Order: sequence, then structure tokens, then C-alpha cells
Amino acid sequence: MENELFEFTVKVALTLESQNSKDEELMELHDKAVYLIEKMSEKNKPTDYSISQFSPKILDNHYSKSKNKSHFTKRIPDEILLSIFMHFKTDESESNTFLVNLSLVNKQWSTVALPLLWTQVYSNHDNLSKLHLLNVGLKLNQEYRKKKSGWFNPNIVLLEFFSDMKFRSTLNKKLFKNLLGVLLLYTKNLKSLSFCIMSGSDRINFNLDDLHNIFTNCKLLTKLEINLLEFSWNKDYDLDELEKKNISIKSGFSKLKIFSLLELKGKKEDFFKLYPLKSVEKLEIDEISFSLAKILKGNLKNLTSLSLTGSLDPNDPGDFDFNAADLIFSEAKNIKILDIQLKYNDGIFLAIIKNNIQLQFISGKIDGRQRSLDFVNWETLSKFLKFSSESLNEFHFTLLLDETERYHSHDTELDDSKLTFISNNLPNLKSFGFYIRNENFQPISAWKKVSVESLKKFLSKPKNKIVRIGVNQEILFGTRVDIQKIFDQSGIDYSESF
Amino acid sequence: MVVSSKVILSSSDAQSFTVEKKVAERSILLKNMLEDIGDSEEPIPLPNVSGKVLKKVIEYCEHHKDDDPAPAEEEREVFDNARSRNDEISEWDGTFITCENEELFEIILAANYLDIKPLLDLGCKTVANMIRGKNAEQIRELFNIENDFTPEEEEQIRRENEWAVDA
Repeated sequence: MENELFEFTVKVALTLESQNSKDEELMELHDKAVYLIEKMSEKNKPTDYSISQFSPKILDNHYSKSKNKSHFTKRIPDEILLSIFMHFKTDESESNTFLVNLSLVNKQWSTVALPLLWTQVYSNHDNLSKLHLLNVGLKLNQEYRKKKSGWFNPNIVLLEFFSDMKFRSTLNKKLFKNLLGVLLLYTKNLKSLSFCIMSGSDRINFNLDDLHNIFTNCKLLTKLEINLLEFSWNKDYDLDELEKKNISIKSGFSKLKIFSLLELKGKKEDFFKLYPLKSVEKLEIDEISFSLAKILKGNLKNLTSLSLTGSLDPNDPGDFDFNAADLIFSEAKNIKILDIQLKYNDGIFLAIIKNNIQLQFISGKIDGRQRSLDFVNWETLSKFLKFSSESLNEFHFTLLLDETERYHSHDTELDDSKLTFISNNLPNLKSFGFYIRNENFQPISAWKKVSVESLKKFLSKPKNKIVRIGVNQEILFGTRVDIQKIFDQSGIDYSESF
Repeated sequence: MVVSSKVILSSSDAQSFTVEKKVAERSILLKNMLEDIGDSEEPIPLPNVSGKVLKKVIEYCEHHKDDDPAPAEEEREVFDNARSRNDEISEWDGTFITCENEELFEIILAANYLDIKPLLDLGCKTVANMIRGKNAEQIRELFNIENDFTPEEEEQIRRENEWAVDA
């Protein structure tokens, strides 16, 4: 009889499990059945069935319901927990200790307490509230590095966090969301926000809701930089719904920088569909594709500064699409600053991030393959120049070569004909840089083929004098004293751009 | 339902409470609803609040009905900052909020739902005072919270954040 009852209960549980119903009564019935199975298993040790054959989800449900102790935290929303924890911010050292304590209560508490702790340690809330510029980095699954000097100054907070706590990814996501939430809570006057998430295998999805959180909290935001390994949108999100929510940034940004380091072109396009860029003056974007360019087209009338990153390798998912560049340049007639970085080999660098003050390497993997460089020639480079020739004031170009490619390609170096081409096609150029670097980002000679005569001619344009040239002095002047002399006499700034 | 400045509130378990409009308007949610619906005789359903808790919430609102009106959204930030810095609880509020954990929790949730910031703040302060000075284990015990960390995870959090305590 007991066995029959047991088998019947198992059947009920399995049937209900296979239905995967969301109906609460059925779920409860299922949980009860699993509970009975567990109890009967303990008592009779039947051989045919064991509790382990039920899905962990269901067992989790069962356990949490049977204990039913954590009523307080099971239902309490994070924002209320945060309100409670906010009362521990008077004495800093004491409250830090206590916040660590709170983070040890359970996982939910930790996702609320840790962001509060981190923001409290790296700054104080009064300072945060005065911030206009915020730089947040969240590094997951990385070894913790002790905080370094210079991470915090009155204008910039760089929070670099870590976690290899092996939490479920949803918890890591929650941790990040709460962190951002805490930061935004204190930074309503924020005008510039940049954040960077580098996660290992445990990815964080940044989605529209997060963006809404930012926009609704930071109404003064004019600059946004997002640097994510994964940049995902909720596909079910309806554009009309967005409008209904009255969340709009139509007049928002003057500067926008979006990097996506994986193959997420489609996702990036969604972003631009949602947020027209009519007001954007400065745009930095990597891995530009043709479909993305089509979306950007017509939105970039005010663009004056453009930075593009891509690969010239057709097999690379982040292939730089020249047709896309055509489209962009045909619309963006007012570009005055153009910064292009191209990589040749997808094995050299995963990505390069450049801003005004620092250069960061993400990865230095080398695959060592030889590949034809026929497609890398001056013709392709010159494609960039013909579009915005009238308005371009600054043009800096970087090629990244690995050692093998360096020896196979000579056409990449600057020579007289290229310099003449630039001089003829860019009459308003004032700042020019041309760089070649190896896989370790060390400079490789790029100017050695330039003759003294053409350089003199280049520098002595009658209308708009060149005021800055980017060269690597060590490489160039080690062999070209004649050129150094010209640079010295011309009085121009010939430091490298980075 | 509005009868000479009275409003009827209906709880999740179908209990009805007739209160002054002024009292109901301590809740921003109800205030906005009353502005939207205008004069109506229909009871206002509050499906997220039980009768027992609603009674307590009304008691709080009755007592505070002559306090300064709830601040507008744009003033809320200043208000919140000032409020959150003051951890003192008045005698009446202290007595009012002295109740079982379960009920306290329900009041906090109701205050959050009804958008009664001072009551929410009172609840949060009370919880904060209850857990102040306690270690994680004591807090778990206090609120019957299940520890879902493995010992390794717990140790890891402790280790990874010890710098914050030293800072």
C-alpha cells in the first residue's frame, strides 16, 4: 500500500512537473507531492525513485516553502532594504564594518549592502552628490586588486569592483544594478556618466531598464559612455511602450561613446533606433557595420568629432565596413576631428580603448597566423579622406600590425605620394597623425619614406598651417636627423597623440 | 467614495474603512488617485493591503493628518535627505510601530505601496534600530532569515571586503 501511494505521488509530481504550470495551486500541489516523496523516501528508502530525480528548481521551491522562515526577506524589495541600510552611514568606519556584516546575512542582503559599502568607502555621499562626472567600472570574476591611489578625485570616481563569488549570474546582475542605483541616487546632478563592465564567463546584461534608470535619475546627463562586454536589449521591449513611459533622450547627448566588444552589432543598432542622435556632436563607436551606418545616416548632422574602431580583416566579426563609413561621411559634413583605429589581425588585440588620458589594453592574444595584406593599402586609407575633406581639421590614423604582417607590408607606411594626397585633399588640416604599432603597441617606423622636400611642402601650406603632427620621435629621429630639423624649425607640436 | 470629504478604502480581504479625505491624502498614491477620479462614491480597492494592516496605516495617517503635506516630487529629494539624517523616532511613533516583526514588515510594504514616505521611513528606521550592532547570525535569527551562502561564499565575502573595514 505504501509503495502504491509512493508511486502515485511520484506520478503526480512528475505529471505536474512536465506541465511546468505557473498556476499557483498546481505548483503548490506539486511541491506537496515532492515533499511527500522526500518524507517517504527517508522512511522507506524505496529503490525505484529518489528525490534527486526532480528538477532543482522544484526542489528549491519546496525547500524554501517548507522552511518558510525567511518571510521578511523573501518578499522585501531591494529598494526597501536599501532604505533600511541607508541609516547606517553616520560613523564611516563603524558603518563599513556593519555593512560588511549586513552583506553576510544572505545573498539578497549582500547585493544591496555591498554597493552601498563600496560607494561609501571610495567617496562620501556629500562628495558624490556634487559629482558631475562619474566613471564606474565593475569587474567581475577578476582577482581583486587592492585599491590604488588616484582612483578617486573630486571630479571622478572610478570604482573597480570584483566578484568571483560564484553567485548565479542573476545575482551578479542584481549587484551591478544595485550599485548603479546607489550611485545614481547620489548623483542627480550628473552630467557625464561612463561605466565599464568586464565580466568573465558570468555575464551581465545591461538593458533598457538600466538605461531608463540612468535617464530618469540623471536628467542633466549630456555625456554617456558605456563599455560593456555584453550589451543586450530586451527584445520584447516595445518602442511605443517606451514613448508611453515618457522616457526620451531626444535632446540629450552632445557626446556619446558606445563600445561593444563582442559581436553585438544588431544590439547596438537597436540602441540607435531607440535614441536618435540629432544632438550628438562627438561620437565614438567601434565595429561599425553597414546596417548600423544606415541607421546613423540622417542623424549625424551636428557631428563634429568621430572616432571609429574596427578591423580590416574580412573574417573578423568586427570588420570595418568601408561602405558604412561612406554612408556616415556623406551625411556628416561637419566632421572636424576624425580618429580611426584599425586592427589587422583579430588575434592581436581584442580591443583598444583610447580617451584623452589613457590607453587600455584588454587582451594581448596572438594567433601567429600569416595572412595576406592585399586589402590593406593606401587606396583603402584614402577612402576616409575624400568625404570630409573640406571640414576636417584633425586626422589621426593608427594601424596595428603584428610582426609577421609588418614584414609583408610596405604599402602601409607614409610616403611622399600619400603626404601629397593628404595635403591636396585636406586643405584645412591642422593636426595630423600617422602611426603604426606592433602587437605590443610599440611604435614602428611609419615616416621613414617621407622626403625632406615633401615634408617641407606639407608643413608650409599657405592657408592653414599644420600646428601638430603625431610621430614617434624615438623611431623617426633615430634615423632621420634631417626630418627632426624640419620639425624643430617649424615650431609645431610633434608629440604623439597617445 | 466621497461623502462630505470622506473616502472609503477597501482592503484585500474586503474590509471597508471610511476615512477623511485629508487622512487618505497622506498617501501619495491615494492623493493622486483622488485627483484623477474626482468625486466618486466607489470604494477605492487596495488589493495589496490587508484589513489589519490598513487599519494600522489609517491610525498612523489619522495621527499625522495635520503634519505638513507630503512634499511634491521635486522637493522630495531635499526632504528625504533631511529626514534620513534624523534617526530619532517620536514617542507616539515609537509606540505605534512597536509590533511583531511580521506586522512591521507588512506595514513597511503597505507604506511603500501607498507611498507614505514618513511611515516607510519610520518602518525602515525601526528595522535599522533593531539590527544595529548585531552580527549576521543574530540578524538572521531575529528575522528568521535563511542563510543561502555556502561557508566558502561567506568566507569569500568576508575576505574580499576586509579592506573596507581597514580603510
